[in-house]
Amino acid sequence: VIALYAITDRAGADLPRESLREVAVGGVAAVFARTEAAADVTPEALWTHEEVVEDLMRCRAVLPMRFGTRFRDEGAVLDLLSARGGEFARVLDGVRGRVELGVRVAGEAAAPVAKPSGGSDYMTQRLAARREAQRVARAVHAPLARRAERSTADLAPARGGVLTGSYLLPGDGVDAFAADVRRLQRAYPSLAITCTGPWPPYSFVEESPR
Amino acid sequence: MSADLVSGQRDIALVDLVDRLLDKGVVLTGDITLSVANVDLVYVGLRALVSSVATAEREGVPLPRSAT
Repeated sequence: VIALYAITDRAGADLPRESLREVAVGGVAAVFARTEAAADVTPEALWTHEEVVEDLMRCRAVLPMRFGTRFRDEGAVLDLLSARGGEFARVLDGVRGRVELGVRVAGEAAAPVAKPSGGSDYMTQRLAARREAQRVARAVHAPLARRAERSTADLAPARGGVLTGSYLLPGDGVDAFAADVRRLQRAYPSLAITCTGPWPPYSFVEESPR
Repeated sequence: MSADLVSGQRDIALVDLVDRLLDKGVVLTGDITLSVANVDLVYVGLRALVSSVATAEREGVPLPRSAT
């Protein structure tokens, strides 16, 4: 089978690994490797996949695939490019030269409250704490979103915390964005703000709404 | 991500890596074989995440707390 890494904006002699192959339709190429193995989800496998996509991103615009995407053969990949190449080309235009940064905000958004005297008191406190968490999350997200060309924000992350955000910005905008994150961390010392990246544009692989 | 940025912790980066590779990126449907669309794989992914969180906490890195 074929393990697909990314859709890129051109084919060429610059594939960063010997194991990589590509097929192209029009100006859009799909980069893949042949494999017999099932997609084994280990940190090492994820990092290896990530490194391949990052190497590609150094010389091309990329749309990273979700990990584990497998095709039967090259013909199936060609069918995909024939059917959706125009859409991929438009999305690639939107991410060319851009990188994604991830921001995760954890910690106590609300000040400690008095021990609740009863059930309804408890619920009132819970609601107030949630509102405060969302207020703080928006206050952190807003200036970062202004710095970014596009952004996503999850104000109730499934894994806890008060904000998980992704931000698409030009490759030369990373330092200014990181400075913003540090400034926000100083402004909200009770929160733990972590920023990771630059990533390939995993969160921005769909056409942006007009 | 290859370069250290604000937080240099590879374990924190792993949390974000898992979120991106298993939950984002281009999703293909239709005449295509997707090998990740099953419960087992998501479960293994979360287990990798949990172990990375444990490592980070041992090293004193602040991480999101799990929801109550």
